[in-house]
Amino acid sequence: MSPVLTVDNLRVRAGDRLLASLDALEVGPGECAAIVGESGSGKTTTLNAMLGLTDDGLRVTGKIVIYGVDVVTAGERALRRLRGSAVALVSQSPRHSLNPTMRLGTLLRRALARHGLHGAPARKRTEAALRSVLLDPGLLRRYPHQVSGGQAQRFAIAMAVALRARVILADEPTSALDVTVQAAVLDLLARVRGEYGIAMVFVSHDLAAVSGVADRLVVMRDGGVVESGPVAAVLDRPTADYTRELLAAVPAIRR
Amino acid sequence: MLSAEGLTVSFGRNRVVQAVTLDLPDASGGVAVIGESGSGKTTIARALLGLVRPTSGRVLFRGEDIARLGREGRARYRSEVQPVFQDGDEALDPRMRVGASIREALRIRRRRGPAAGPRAMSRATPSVADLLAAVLLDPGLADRRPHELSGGERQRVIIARALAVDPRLLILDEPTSALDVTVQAAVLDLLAGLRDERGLGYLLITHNLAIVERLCQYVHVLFAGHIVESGPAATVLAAPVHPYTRALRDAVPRLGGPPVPAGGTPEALPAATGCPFRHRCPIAVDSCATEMPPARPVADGHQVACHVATAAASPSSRT
Repeated sequence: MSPVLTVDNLRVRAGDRLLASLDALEVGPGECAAIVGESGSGKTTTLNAMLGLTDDGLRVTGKIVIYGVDVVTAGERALRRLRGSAVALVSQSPRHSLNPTMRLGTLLRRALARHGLHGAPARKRTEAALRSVLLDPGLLRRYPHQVSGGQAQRFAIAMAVALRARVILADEPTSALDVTVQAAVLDLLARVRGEYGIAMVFVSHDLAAVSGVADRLVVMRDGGVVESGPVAAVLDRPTADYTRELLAAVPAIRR
Repeated sequence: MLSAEGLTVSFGRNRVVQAVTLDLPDASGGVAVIGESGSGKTTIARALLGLVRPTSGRVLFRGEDIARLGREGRARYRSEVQPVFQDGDEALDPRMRVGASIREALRIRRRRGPAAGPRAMSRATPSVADLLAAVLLDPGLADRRPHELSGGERQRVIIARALAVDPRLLILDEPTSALDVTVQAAVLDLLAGLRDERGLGYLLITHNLAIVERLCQYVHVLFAGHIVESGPAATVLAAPVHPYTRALRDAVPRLGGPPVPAGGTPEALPAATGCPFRHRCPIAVDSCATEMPPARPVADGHQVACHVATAAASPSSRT
């Protein structure tokens, strides 16, 4: 299947300083690539570049093609169209990325209306999306601050499902969650990508968390890629010293 | 050396900690309290530090209620029990160079003199450079301000400052959760080394089961303010009995393994009556709705507060 997201020779610079570079990445429908690295590695900068979100003063070169649109050269209108439909963002603190003055139901209704869905079809789409993330429809009456971190994250994923997103870009989606809630959200992301064939790019510092969801791993450090490949290969036979160091540092419990 | 006896803390009508009893050692030992957000684990730490007053129950320092300590006893408690909080940029004064922060603690130690007990006098007071060296930092960092340091360096400075008053027991509240995984491993190594070299006791407050065994021999598992399981760390982590502990353990992500959800929605609120875990419990029975199960022993030193679970009847879902 042809990839939904392609990165080619991406470089993000601030003046002379290289913040992030990624030579090549392809993610097809239902596939998930994980970018792992520590603070300052450039992983979030790379993800933001995919959303066309780059601060003033940053220079982006290369190509990021999502669903036929080159994000690097696209104008603001094309980007907005892309972000509202084909691309969904699941951020670290969803309660802060949702408009605090609106109930969750209103947020979802407005988003669907923007895609021309009103009335009964919109309601049906909403119900199905909430079911797929195991959220009680009663939650739609709540405001973002009235739901838990895990519920907000489920809602963000439900929005992506309801809007028929083709790509989910997830930035540390489980780092702020308790471990049992984290496991539930990771499981949900894995199921959603299988069921709906959504492509995913998952950015995290947590190698163990992403390794259960992703099929490709990209390990970044200091703005560059130190290693990439299929998850099993990178975990079983890491080639870079830094990857080995990361793997050794993952805390584990005896089972 | 420090213990909680039937410790209960309420904020308004909200009971955050319910009848918690635990003992903390003062030499080369570690006790962990594990639980998720809202379980009351930080409130227990604050009560043990005398920062929150118990609604009922007591905190005892060397057998005496900390609310009734005299001047000398209080000085001794303050120097022997030291907190190490999660970084959060908040634990260090942003205007002070880190050397000055540590020097301030050293000054308190000197001023306290004999009141701090014979032990404090028996050792020569270290210098700022000694303390920075003890946490494996370049003494040159003393001239920096907190924002000029990395998260891992800041956490080491906070540990160095705690060591300045020659404590016996450190209360570690999520000491590594703000750190990158490689930095976390280094800070855990440092803490394990200090424990053995100086014979320190630790209370580790964390939501991360995977770091517990590195520092602690004994664990208490907290859910909605109740201790639901206690026992030797090796046993509780390897063969948890309470369904909540099992869910916690199974949820720790494994390299390359698929995520293991606990079933249902872990965001469900604790039940207000009976066993607080019953809304999330896969093995709940009728009596769970009406009665909070008392803690009962399942093995030597291993206690579980559950009507149903037994060591044999609830084998771990994964081995």
